Amino acid sequence: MANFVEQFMTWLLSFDKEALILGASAIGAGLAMIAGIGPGVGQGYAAGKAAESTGAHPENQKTSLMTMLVGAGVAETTGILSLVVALILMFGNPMVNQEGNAIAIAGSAIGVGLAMVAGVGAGIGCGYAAGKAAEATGFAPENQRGIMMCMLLGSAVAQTTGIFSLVIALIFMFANPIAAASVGGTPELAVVLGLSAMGAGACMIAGLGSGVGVGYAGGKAAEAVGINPESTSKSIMLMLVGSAMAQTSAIFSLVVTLILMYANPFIGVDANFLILGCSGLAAGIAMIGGLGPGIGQGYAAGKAVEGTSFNLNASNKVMVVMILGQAIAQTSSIFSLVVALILMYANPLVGVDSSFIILAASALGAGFAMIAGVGPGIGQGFAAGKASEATGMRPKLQGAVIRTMVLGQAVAQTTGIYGLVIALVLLFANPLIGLL
Amino acid sequence: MEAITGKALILACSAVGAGLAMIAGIGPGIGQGFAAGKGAEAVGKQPEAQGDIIKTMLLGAAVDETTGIYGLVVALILLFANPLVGML
Repeated sequence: MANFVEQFMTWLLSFDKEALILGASAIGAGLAMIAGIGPGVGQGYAAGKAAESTGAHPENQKTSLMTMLVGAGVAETTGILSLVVALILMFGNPMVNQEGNAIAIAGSAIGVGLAMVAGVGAGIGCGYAAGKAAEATGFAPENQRGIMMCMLLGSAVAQTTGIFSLVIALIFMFANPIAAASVGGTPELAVVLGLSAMGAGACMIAGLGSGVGVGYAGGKAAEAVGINPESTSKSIMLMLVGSAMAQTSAIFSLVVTLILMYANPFIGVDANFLILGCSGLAAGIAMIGGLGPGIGQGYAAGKAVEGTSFNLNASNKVMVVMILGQAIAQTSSIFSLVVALILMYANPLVGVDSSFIILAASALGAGFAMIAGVGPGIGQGFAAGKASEATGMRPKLQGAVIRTMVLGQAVAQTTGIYGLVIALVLLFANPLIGLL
Repeated sequence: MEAITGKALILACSAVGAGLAMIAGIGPGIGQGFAAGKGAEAVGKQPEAQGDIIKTMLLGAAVDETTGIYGLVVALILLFANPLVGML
């Protein structure tokens, strides 16, 4: 009797090519709409803050309402982008006409949906910025220009990862390199490519973190400018430096996604196709760990802006603490990147003589284990933020504050290291193989 | 492609399960980071209490670690002392 992998493949290939692609497109359209969580949360926060501000300063109701609506409009972007992608998949599906193997193209359609999920982040982040700006214009309507500028600048940076995801989705839909690579290939190659496409899409979800984090920094800058307009230039500078750090893990993910799409290292490798395909999917799943550092580093940037606005002379000391703390918070996404690169370029499972299903599952398990990195990333970023704030209030205590921060961050790293250890055991010293 | 035995299926699922168990690490990571942040904040306000602050922070963080260790223990059992294959 054929095993279930063969049966499943035979079952998939028993359909018309169009049916398989359209079915996957339906799932992709649904997945893309998950991005709607972001604007939902963010705009609700903005509405709440504007209502609160109107209660406290009814005379400034118009200004704060206007600020809230502009910010909420920006926060809507990723929700609309996802809607457009879903509508394209439903009403003008370009994927049915792509040349190539149906399984590879179907995987790409699901990848489109997964990539668009990253829009959750920008929705929440921009909504937070809108809420903080509405609040700030409520108590300081005379600073509206500077407040709006910070809000829009922060929101624009926060949108980056949503746009990265849109670009990946458009490439899959209109110039699919995965479909092209499957032309004339075996069904087995198509499975490798299809799973890699799903991995590429999942990988982009890490951008969710930067969206939330950078939006938080933008909101804090808007608030700081409202309280102390003299802090405008330093607030914007710190916000942008901190936000650039918070983008790092999203860029790592973009690189891994582009490798999986355009320079797929699994093509032509002589090994079981399920091991290779699951390794591609797992590389993408591992990178999701990067969403933690994105959120955490953005929080640190926001708190550094707040710390500086108390004490403009301390801005250099605050920035040192922020960058040090953010660098430590980056650790988890670097762990994820290392595991993804091992899976892609130095895959130790490929040469092992054992049941293919155990090896393929071990690759997936290694990917899942790396999601643990989300926690340390968020937590260490929180520590970096609080330490930046404390340094702004009492710059003389910078040394003691840094020591406490680093000690706490080291403890917060432990569970991320556990995840890494389990992933490395699954890859390099797999005890399950011996049990067979 | 060779047939998949029942044992191979259990072991494969154990690999996925071990990976999934590690996702628990998100919790302690966030929680301990919060503790570290509040610790740094407190040292900034009352540097003379630094020793006590760090002691409290580390004690709380140790308690916080437990669920992460539970996840690790389950993953290690699945990998190194898998009780499921024996039940077959």
